[in-house]
This record gives sequence, C-alpha cells and structure tokens, in this order.
Amino acid sequence: MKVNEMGCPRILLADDLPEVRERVTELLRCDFDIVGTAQNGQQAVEAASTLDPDLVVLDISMPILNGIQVASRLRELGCRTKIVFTTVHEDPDYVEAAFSVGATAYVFKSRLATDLVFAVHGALQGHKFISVRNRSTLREDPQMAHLKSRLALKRA
Amino acid sequence: MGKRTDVFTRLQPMHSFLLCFFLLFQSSAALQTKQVRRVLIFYEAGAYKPLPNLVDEGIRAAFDNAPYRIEFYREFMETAQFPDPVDQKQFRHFYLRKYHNRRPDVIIAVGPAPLQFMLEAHQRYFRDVPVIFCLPNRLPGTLSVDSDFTGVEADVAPAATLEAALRLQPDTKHVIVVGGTSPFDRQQEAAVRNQLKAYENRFDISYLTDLPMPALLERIKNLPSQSIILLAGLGRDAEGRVFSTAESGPMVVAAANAPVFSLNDRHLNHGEVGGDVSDAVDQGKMIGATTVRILNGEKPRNIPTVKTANAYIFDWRALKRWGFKEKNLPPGSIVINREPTVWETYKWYVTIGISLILLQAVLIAGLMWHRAKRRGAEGELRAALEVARESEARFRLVANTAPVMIWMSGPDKLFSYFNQPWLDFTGRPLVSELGNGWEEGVHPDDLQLCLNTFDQSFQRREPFKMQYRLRRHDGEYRWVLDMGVPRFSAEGCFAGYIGSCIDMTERKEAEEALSSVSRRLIDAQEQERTRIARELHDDINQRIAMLGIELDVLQQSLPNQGPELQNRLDELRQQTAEIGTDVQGISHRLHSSKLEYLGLVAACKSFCREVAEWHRVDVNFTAENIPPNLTQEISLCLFRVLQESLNNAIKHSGAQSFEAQLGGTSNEIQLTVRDHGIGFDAAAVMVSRGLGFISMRERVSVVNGTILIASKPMGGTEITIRVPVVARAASKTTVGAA
Repeated sequence: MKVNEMGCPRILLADDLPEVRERVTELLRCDFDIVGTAQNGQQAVEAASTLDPDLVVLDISMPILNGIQVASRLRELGCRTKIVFTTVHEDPDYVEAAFSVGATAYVFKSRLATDLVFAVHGALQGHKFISVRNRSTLREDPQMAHLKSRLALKRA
Repeated sequence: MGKRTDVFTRLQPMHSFLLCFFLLFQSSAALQTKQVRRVLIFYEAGAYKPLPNLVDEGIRAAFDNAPYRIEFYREFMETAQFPDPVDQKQFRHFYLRKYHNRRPDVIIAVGPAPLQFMLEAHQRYFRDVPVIFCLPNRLPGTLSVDSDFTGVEADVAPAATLEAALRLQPDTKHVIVVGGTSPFDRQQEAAVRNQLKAYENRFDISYLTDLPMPALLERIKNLPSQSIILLAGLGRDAEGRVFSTAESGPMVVAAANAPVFSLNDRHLNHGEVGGDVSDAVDQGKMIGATTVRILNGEKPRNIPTVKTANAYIFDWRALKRWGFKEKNLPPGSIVINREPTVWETYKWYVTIGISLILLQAVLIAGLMWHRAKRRGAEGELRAALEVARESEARFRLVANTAPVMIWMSGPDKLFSYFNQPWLDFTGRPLVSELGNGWEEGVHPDDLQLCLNTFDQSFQRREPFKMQYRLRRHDGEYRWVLDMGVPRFSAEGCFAGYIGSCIDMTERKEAEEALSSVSRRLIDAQEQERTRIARELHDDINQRIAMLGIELDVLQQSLPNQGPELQNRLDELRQQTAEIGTDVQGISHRLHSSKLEYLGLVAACKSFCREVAEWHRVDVNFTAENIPPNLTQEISLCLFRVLQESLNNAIKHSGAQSFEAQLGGTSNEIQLTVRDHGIGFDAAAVMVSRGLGFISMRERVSVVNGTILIASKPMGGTEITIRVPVVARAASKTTVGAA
C-alpha cells in the first residue's frame, strides 16, 4: 500500500452531491489523506488514473458514468485500486453488481456515519464489507444473506 | 374333168379341218393310250353352213368324257351346191374308197341325203357298222331302216309356228311359205305342206318355193297387209344358186314387208321373228349321247329313235320391229337378242347411282342432323356466351363503379385487365398498363419488393397484401394497399390473379401522425418518469440519506444524554431510513435505475423476481448471449415490453407460472414471454387491452423490431419480440452491466 508522507492511505472521493462529499471528507480526514474529489464518473476515472489513490470511495448514482461503470472502466484500464461504494441503493442486485466489478466494500449511505471508516480500513486490509439494512428488526433479505455467505463476509 | 378338179379344190380346206381335229384329240388322247374309235360323219350341208357346226358342237360335248380316243372323220355331201347326180355319185364312190380300209365304228348321217346314201350303201360297204341318222324332220314313212340304224329326229313345225304367229298378229290372213329347191328344201316343203293343210280354209296360203331369188325377193316386197312369211329351207333357188341360211335369211327379211317366221333354228338372228324350231345343238348332243352308247357296246336296235324337242324361239329385235307384244308369245318361249332394257343396260350404273344418291342422302341427312345439332349447340353456346357476356358486363359495371382500383392477371403473370378507377388514377390508357406496363407507375424504391411479393405469391398461388407507392396522374406518388387473390376456373385450374387497391396515403399519413404522437407520448411519459425518479432518487433520497447521517452524527455527538433522547434519535433515524427506502421504491417503480446502472439482464431478472414475489407466482427468467453494449433505447424497449407483457400475463392468464426468455444472436435480440393460461382472442384483446398492446407495438416499432402475439383461447399466450441489433461501438451512454 502506497501511503503519503504522514503514512496515511491516499483516498479519492467521487460523489456528485457536495453535501455527501463534505460529510465523507469529515468522516475520513482523521485517518486518511483525501487526495482528490470527483463530481461525476468521468472525473472519477480521470482522477483515479492520474492520482493512483489507494482507495476510491465511489457513489453509484453519478452523471456521465455511474459508479458501476467507473469501477468497470478502472478495471479495464488496469487500475487495481481498492473501491468502496457509498450509495443509497440497498438492493442486493446493486451489491452483487458492485462486487462483480471489483468492489471491496459496499456501504449504504444511511449507514455512512457508522460503517464508512470501518469499511475503508477493512478494505485497505483486503476485507470485504457490506452494510446492514437499517430495518434490522426485519428478517434479513435472503438474497443478501446468500450474497454475504458467498463473499465470506463478517458482519460489521 | 374340170368339175372334178373343182371338187377336190373345194375339199382341201376340209382336210386341214380334219387334221386339226386329229391333232386336237390326239394331243389329249395320246397321253392316255386309250382305245381308238372312229366316228364318220356325213353332212348333207357344206362345212361353211351353220348346221354341221351346230351338230358338231353337240356331238363333241357328248364325247367330252368318253373313255376312247375318238377319231373324227367328217364328209360334206353338199347336195345344194352339187345337185348333179353324177357329182353325188362320184362323191359316194370316193367316200367308199376312202373308208374301205378304214372302217368306222359308227357312222352318223346328218340330213336326208347322207341317210339315203347309207340306206343304199350300208349293207354292202359298211355291214354291221351302226348308223345314227339325224333328220330335221320325221323319218319319212317311205324309208325303212334295218336294225343297224337308229337316229334322232326333229320335226319341222309350221303349224305351231303359225299358231304362234297368230298370237302375235291375230288378224293374219295371208300366209306365204318361202322355200328352196334343194332336196332338203323340198323334203321340208313337203312336211310344211302336209302340216298346213288344216289351215288352208282359214288362210290364204301360198308357196314361193320355185322362184329365182330376185323374183322371190321382188314378190315379197309388196305382200298385202295382214300377211306373214314362213321361211322354210332355202338352200338353193330355182336357178341353182346356193345359199346358206346366213345368206338367205337376211335377204328374205330385208325384202319382205311382212314379218318372217322361221321353221329352222338356223333362220334366226337375221331379223326373222322366230317360231317353233328344232335346236341343232340339242340334236348334236343327243347324237353324241347315242354314239357313246353304241361305242360302249349297245346295239342300235336297242336304242329307239328319239325326237328332239322343239322350242319356241323368238328374236326380240324383230318382235319390236313389228310391234309384237312379248306377253302374247306362247308360254315357255325363249326370247333371244333381247336388247337389254334401260334398266338392264344401266342396272349397275343405276344401282351404283342410286346407292351413291342414297349414300349422299344419308350423308346429307347426317350433315343436316349434325348441323341441326351444332346449331342447337351453337344456340346453347350463344346462350352461354350471352350469359357470359352479361356476367362480364355486370363484372365490368361493378368493377368500374367500385371505389377501388381492380386489376387482373393471367396465369402467365401478365396483367390483362385494369378497371376504370385504376386508369383514372394513373391517367394512362389501358394499353400502357397491360402486360407489365403497370410497373412503370410504381415508385422505383418499392418496385423490387412489390415484384418479389407478387412473384413469390404467384408461385405458391397464395393471396398477398402489399403496400407500395403508385404514381398518380398528377405525378404524385400515393401509397396504395394492394390485395391480390389467385383465381381458379370452374375446373379448378389456376387462371391468374385478381387484385384490388385502395389509395391509403391519407390513412398512412394519419397512422404515421398517430404513431408519431403516441411515440412522443411514450417518450414524454418515459422522460417524465425518469425525471421524477431521478429527482426522487438522486436528490430527495440523497437528502434523506444525508438527514440520516446527520442524525447519526448528532447522536454520536451527544453521548451523555439520557436514554430517552437516545431512543428518540434512534426512532428519528429509523423513520428517516424508512422514508428513504420508500422513496427509493417509488423511484424504482417509476423508472428502474437498475436498467441504467446494471443493464438489461439484471433489470429484467430483478423485475421478474420482484413481480413474482409481489404476485406470489413463478417466473422463470433466462438470458443468453445478450451483448453488454445495447443502446438505452433497445434496453428500455425490451424491458418495458417485458414489464407490460408479464404484468398482462399475470393479470389475465390465470396461470401460476410464466417464462421469460431473452436470447441474442449476432444481429438481433429476441424476447419471449410465455404463459400456459387461458389464452385470448388476439384480435379482440387488441381492442379491450388496446393501450398496452399499442404501447408495446409503438415501442417495438421505434427500434424497428417486430412483435408477434400468438394466442388462442385455452391455448396459452406467447409474445415474441425481435429487435435488430446494430453493431455499435461502446460509448459513454452505453450501459455497461455484467
């Protein structure tokens, strides 16, 4: 893992919403070096190629290229940087798609404050992570459970 | 001496004649080595007279089957030519010397003079040689013959001839007997006189028997009317001129002005009427038969003298000349020289002619019958043609007043008819359109498709329906809908096509307009849904998410508060998350972001799963070979069609399990949605559930796809969409899903 002079891992942040970028930056800046931000998928691909960060925190719903496409493109370009998705899409289909294009962690935006730092740390270590739905009282979605078992995840 | 020389000179032809006889008989007899029998014949007449030849003919006929070789010797005493007793005596001496060493087996004496010769010479010179005499009349009672003699008598029959003449000419008053002076003539005259004694009281009977021929002929030229002539033997006239019957007969007949009746059969054929006459050939035959009997060993004394039967023989030409009726002849009369009647002469011609006429008549009748039949048939044909014409006229009236363009083609694909509306439409004369001329009016871009459709249908004899642009008379191309159906004759033979066209330009424009409107409507709806969904998801949902984060942060920043506040914050955070989930759900339903983010297969699979969970049914979704770089348009189309058709199926089919298949090939993608439910009448459903189907059709048509709905009541439903895929480089707008 490449780290900066302070020894902090280098993070690229891609999200089209400024509020989210702001919040995520607050959450991560203690432990990580935010080397760049991108407001759309296109910028994300370019920044990742240029900056070669240790990890990209990537939103799915973005203009021009969505997060899945960005991850796919980065893999096509040979970029092996870790990817942590942050998204409002809690549907297992998205989770499955994200992992299929090389994601290491998948964090629901509703669980951002609690899960993100943990997930990023884990991801940098190679640990996979998926947020748990807020409706914890409800029985977990069987599709998600299946997915988790397939990915051999530990619950956060 | 000079006379004697004359005699021998005359005899020479006789010798050659005999020689011929010898040769004739030898030629046949030599082969058989039969016994030889000599037959010596004495004739009173000369060889040139008819009688000997007639008698010869009869004798030879009798010898035809004799078992002997017969040697014939014929001697002609010719008493008419050589009446001088000295001459006759020398002849007899010659005969006696001649046959002294050549003794005959039989002697035949024909005529009174040979008979007299035999009576005198037999005992002395031809002792025991049988003698057969032949007389033209009965043996005179003054002559007595010994037992070596037998003979054949004939009888002159002047009485019978006179009776016959009276039948023909009843008013006869004068009977003239014409005769000559030779011994034979005299003998016959005596017989006639004897027989006619009985008639002397009834008729004026005169005898012209002692006249020189010229005087005789002169006498008979001017006989009174109601006369007849009886012609007796006339071998020699009063002046010693000798005549054969062939000479005397014609002379008498030519001179006489009365009918000449005959007493001898030699006096026929020269114009004589005829009469009751003896038949010389018949006599000859009887002599021949008698000769054969004697040669066979019978004794003459055991063979009675026979008399030949006379016959009534008349010359038809003479009967005609004198106007005698044939019906008045005695019964059994023989009529000779009958000129055949017109019927007899031309019997064959007439028969053949009549046959030909009959044949012709039959032929004519046949032809008439045939013509009548043909006329009948022609009448029927005319009637049929009339019906056909009427039918044709009716067809043309209908065709020309119909508000459609009508054409017809023959089985050769050439067009043979166009109705008036067609011609009015194109503004061209019929002759320009016939055959393949109509093709000139078809829009060049449409012609090939048009011809292909026509050719293919033609080969299969199937109906067809096609649209093409046809040039109107004003030069504008108009869309026409052309429907053709094959024509078949009454016998079932393919006769070509008949088709009708309507100008559907306006309809097509309206359709296009409608299509355009609905497409825009769909587009607008889609855009609006997408926009709202995006708003909800990308803005509202994010904000809710952020609100949740804020609540989390707030909770973490207030660690020392009481549990009530903590719980309260938990609840708020929970509610916020639920709102977020709900909004996301709404957004998803409005417009599946999965399609955009995850691609067609994932979106479809997800939808199938959701709908299955929602309606508690089984949906079996499969996808194969779907290219990753489908356009948004195609993906959306397929996804929407899947949504619509699957929703419809679940709602209406009553089935519990459904199949949805996505399959790709190099140039198209196929989506099939199938159920095994109650099915429906596709046409009816198009109306009742029209909007959904129309919407599907529109979506499919936008991407140049086809949609096929196959359904029948209780047979399930299958909806198949095929969308062509244009090879297309991946672009930024491409949905890149796994």
